Amino acid sequence: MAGFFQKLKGAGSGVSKSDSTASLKTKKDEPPLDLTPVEKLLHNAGPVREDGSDKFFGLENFGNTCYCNSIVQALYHSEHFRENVVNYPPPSPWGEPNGTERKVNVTIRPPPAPSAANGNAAGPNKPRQSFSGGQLAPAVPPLRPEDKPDSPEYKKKQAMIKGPVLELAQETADPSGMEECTFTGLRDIFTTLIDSQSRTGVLSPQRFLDIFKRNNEMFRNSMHQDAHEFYGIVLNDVIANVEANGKRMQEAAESRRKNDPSQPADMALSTADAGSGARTPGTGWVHDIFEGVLTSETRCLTCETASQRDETFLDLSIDLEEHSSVTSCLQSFSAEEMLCERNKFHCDHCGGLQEAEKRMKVKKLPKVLALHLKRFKYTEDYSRLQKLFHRVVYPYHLRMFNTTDDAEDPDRMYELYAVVVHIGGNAYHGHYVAVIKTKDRGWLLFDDEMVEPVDKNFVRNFFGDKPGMACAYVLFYQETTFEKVREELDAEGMDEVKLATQAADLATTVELVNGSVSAGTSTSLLSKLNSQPLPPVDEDEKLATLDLIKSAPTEIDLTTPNGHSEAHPLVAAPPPAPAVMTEADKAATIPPKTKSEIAREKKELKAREKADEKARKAAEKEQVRIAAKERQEAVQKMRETVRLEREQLQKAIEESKQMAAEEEKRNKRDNTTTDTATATSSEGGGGPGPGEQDPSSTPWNGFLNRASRTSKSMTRKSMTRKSFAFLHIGQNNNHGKDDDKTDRSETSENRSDRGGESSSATAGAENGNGNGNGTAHHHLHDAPPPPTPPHQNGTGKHSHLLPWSTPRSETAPVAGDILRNHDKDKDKDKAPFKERFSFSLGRKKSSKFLSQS
Amino acid sequence: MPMIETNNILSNPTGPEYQFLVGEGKFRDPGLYVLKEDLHLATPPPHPSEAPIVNPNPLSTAPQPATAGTRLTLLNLDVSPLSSALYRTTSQSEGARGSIPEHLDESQSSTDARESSSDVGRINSTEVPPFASNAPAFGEGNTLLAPVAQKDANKRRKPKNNMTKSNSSFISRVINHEALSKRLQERARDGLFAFANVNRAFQWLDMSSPLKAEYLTKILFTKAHCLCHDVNKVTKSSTHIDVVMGFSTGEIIWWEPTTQRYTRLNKNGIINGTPVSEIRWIPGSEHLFLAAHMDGTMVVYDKEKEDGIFTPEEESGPRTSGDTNGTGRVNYTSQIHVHKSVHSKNQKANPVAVWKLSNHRINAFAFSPDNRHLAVVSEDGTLRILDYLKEELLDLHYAYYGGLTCVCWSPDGKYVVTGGQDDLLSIWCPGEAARGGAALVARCQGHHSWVTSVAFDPWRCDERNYRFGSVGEDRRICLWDFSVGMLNRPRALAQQLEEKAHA
Repeated sequence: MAGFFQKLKGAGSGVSKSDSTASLKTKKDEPPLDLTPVEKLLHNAGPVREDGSDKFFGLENFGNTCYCNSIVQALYHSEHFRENVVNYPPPSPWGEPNGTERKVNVTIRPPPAPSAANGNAAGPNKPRQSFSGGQLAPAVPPLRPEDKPDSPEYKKKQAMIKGPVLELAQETADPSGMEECTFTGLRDIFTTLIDSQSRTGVLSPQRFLDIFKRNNEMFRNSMHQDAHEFYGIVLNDVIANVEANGKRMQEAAESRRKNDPSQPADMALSTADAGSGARTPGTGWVHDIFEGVLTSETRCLTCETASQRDETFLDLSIDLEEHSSVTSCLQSFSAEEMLCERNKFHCDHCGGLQEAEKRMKVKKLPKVLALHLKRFKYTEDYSRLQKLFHRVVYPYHLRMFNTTDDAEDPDRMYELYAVVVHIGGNAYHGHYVAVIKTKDRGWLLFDDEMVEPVDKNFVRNFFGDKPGMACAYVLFYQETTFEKVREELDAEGMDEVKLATQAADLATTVELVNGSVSAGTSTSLLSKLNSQPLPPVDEDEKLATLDLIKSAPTEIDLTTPNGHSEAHPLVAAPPPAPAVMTEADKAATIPPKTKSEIAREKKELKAREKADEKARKAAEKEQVRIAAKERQEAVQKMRETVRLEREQLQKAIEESKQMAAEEEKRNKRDNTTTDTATATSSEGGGGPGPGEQDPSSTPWNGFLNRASRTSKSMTRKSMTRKSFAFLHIGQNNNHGKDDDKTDRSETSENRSDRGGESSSATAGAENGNGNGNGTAHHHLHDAPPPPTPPHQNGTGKHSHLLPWSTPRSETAPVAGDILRNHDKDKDKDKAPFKERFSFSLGRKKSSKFLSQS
Repeated sequence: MPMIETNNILSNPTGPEYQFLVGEGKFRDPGLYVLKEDLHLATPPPHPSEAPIVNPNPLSTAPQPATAGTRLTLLNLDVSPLSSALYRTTSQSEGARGSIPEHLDESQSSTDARESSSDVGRINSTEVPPFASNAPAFGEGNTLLAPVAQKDANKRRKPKNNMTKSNSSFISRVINHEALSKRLQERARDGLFAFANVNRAFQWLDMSSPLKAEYLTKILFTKAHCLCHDVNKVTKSSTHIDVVMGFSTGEIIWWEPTTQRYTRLNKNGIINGTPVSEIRWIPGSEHLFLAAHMDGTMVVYDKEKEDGIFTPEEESGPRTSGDTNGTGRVNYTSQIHVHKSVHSKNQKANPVAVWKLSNHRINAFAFSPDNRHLAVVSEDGTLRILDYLKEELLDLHYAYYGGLTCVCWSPDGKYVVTGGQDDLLSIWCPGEAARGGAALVARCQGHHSWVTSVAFDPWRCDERNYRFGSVGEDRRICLWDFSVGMLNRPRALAQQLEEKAHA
């Protein structure tokens, strides 16, 4: 009971230390540091899982390697991919080379002594970017960004101190005989994480980066790199590595069969016609997971011959329009385009360059759909890549509209599971983080070494229009089913409730906050980090205590009555409960110093305001408390089932409340001063940090070089066009003639690689992006209704629609028709919009909504 | 980020980009929609004591206050509430609401059509309604809820507190127009009032006045954002207007503008502490209104009752706990959970009734024109049709994907239209599934981003043809027509839609 009371006090008084030490008693070899939110999240997680789904490690940043960290995290948390990576190569049937267990060469870096850690906790390579707080030299010298408990820098440092830091710096020999390559590097990371006995910590992926940089010259510097480009190269490397290995194994098997060991295995490799031929066994999984197929249908406007051409993709690069949604951008991606003028189509049928109409549809949907939002656009004015801050909303779930009629399961449901966010003002600077939905721990923010639970709505902070220049850059959607989605939504409601409550708290007036009396520190509390999801508590007992602790200080008691009138405490988790819990979470977990980061003048003003406010507050508080007490008594009478223990608790709460109130007042005074002091150092955050490269000097060259390099290295895979953001971004811009020329030249470069058709497609695709250029033609060829609309034959079958449980069939009958467009004769100045729009209504729909019955 | 201003701006833009032609196709004459006036409502700056919204750390996990953009309600004192024999089409017309102030043009044109409202009445009265037209009042049969007979029918009870003299820290400032009483006296009786909430501001405007840009009253709240509001159509008169507002703190204010008095309900979130995403007077009721809280709870309040401590009542106890089927998970797909019934005997204090629909945020709800049903859409992508008189769940439908954000009924109550995060408008025929048909009538594709609001145009709807409009995050307004014959014979179906890229 004593420990219990201590806990209670801790919760009530807002001293997180006592709380965490209390709970720390259950963990043995942890240093007596405060529990991080992730650790709280995992507090009662039970035995370590074997599939690695409960490992939440940060990744060390070696100076601008956040592009790697964010992508690796996203890859790791794709269940399919992780499983397949660590299980490849499969144990060979001959048991020969794989007899020994693969052992990754991990060293655990000794944690730096906390005192010494002050200087270089972050790791050996120092020039790292700090996006928040950065470039303006701190006016108050002693306060560095990493000294502020709320800053990411501080948290990262703490993560390094806390460890364990798993270092992957040495070469690991692979018993199966695979050469060291990108794939093995990645696999070693995954295996290390899965094998780790700790659920949290930091992994230092040095070896992986070394290997990767060895193979990819352009990444051999400490500059800011493009995460999406990195993603594409890594996947291509993995595919190549796996295929090469498959070949090798096949070869080995054959030679073994032939009993002719003299034949060198790599002969087969050199004679490879593998690209087109049948895949080697056991290597299909990479394709299965990430690879989709796009069909481009091109119709020559001279001879009306339609030709189709398939190409595979590992992700879709979509152009952005202002104030649009991902759904809509995907549709423009598939919108019809004209191939004309310098971009004509070489028609085999009528021989020669002709005007043509082309559109891209998805023929095969991948299990993991990566959407690359083309946020970086080449602008002639600055002759550099500019970042687009368009607001582009993305839903948690998605279905594709732009599938072909013969696509398999064209209606499949995708769920958003990872968002790679770019923070920064342009393509040459900034920082990447990943926000990832984990299997059963909700959403987490992975910011290099730091891992932090966030609530579901946090994911929506990166639509692009918010201050702070943080925008979603790559979205990862993974395959799911309608039923799974429903189930999950039914289960997860609690988060929503909590969120709403927090929002309410924030916007609350003083007196309202003080509804939760003692802990209610109103303003100082409000700006604080406070979004970890509910700690999942397994034991009933725990929940019961939590419930009491949390709800008690509020005095309002919406929830506790519940908990007590019910026989079983678990049942007592009605939605209001978490609302109250978070309130107290705040009290329990938040360090006493607040870091609301605004400019100093504002701060001072606020300080004055605060003083005034505080007087009122105090009076208000008193009133509320009295009122609350009365209410409390009333409730008490109402409930006869209240146990004796509860009364004890009440007393304790009163005590702790008073303590907290006093403490709060003190804190607040402190805060006011510290705030003023720190404000300047954080001014204008979000810009490039001091450690970053000079933006004007090298990067553009870098990109050009890279361009030639990549187009070479990527020809093997047809993903080139779709994934190759930096080259094609510029093509959006059809305003300037010169620019146009650039486009062409770039595309022709592609052409040499991949043949004329797809290159023209490229330009055409960019063309359609909202300016009149392409759309006028749309109009032209829109007029004769597309010859293929299969509405009619489709609709007949759908006279009985299934009920709501099968959403696909619901969409069927009328939808296709209802949306048929009749606005041919509209005023012309609206033409661009309308035509494009109408198009999307006409054909696309028909194919989309006409489901199989 | 919205601009921060203090004054409303009225402009009269002209030119082709401010009008659009609705090509009515074969069914209607073409119509030209012209933007007459563009009234831009000021977005108030945050209260000085409010935590700064701009956090330099974009990854900050600090919670942001709930906002709901701008919501607008129009009120015409002259149109008396229709007798119960008719559909309450007025509620549709007056409830027209744009989530973006620029869309006032929509309501402007509606005023032109007001003279045709009798027309609508005729149509409705000649048509045999599918439901009994005399819907019982909500909570009928519970004598405790029977309205207390008032001595003077014309004298309505006012809220308790004086708003202008209030020293509540909830309200920051109340600014009345200097000539408020004069303006109220001199205004045309049939003119439109407008009420709008923009973040922490609430404005009362007179749309019939040449000074329409100058508010009659503006209330600035301290920190709480007003997310929604509604005006009572039953009690309105030139001396009395009942307005309820829902706040991000979960609190509710009942405000009477003509006397500037107010009452706070759900004070300190004592009944429910989560933000109010939608609030509506229960049709035909003088006292009761329904608020949707963001934790998926719907609460009926009585404007004149005190807040009580709310604990789910025993009668619903077995129902709630019984559904936690072993997994500890409550099943919300088959029924709503009545935490307190309107028929409860304990009606001394608020809440009057509490229903728990799901754990997810309720984004919007709408009463059916016959006052029997309630359509509720939620962040989890569901459309629920409730019989709110019986407190029962009738239908449950799902979005194509993503959450549903807005909902409305056709004026005849036959169709429900929802808009959502799948960029689609979905037309539903509630009850059709039970009759063996398809509840989903159509999905309409046209917006380029999430749909934020939808409303029928009652003057363009008759027995067979319907028009509704929608606005979305893509800053477009789309008008949609559909017709019954087309729906039944899909092959011949056509639907036009027009859109206008916003200036």
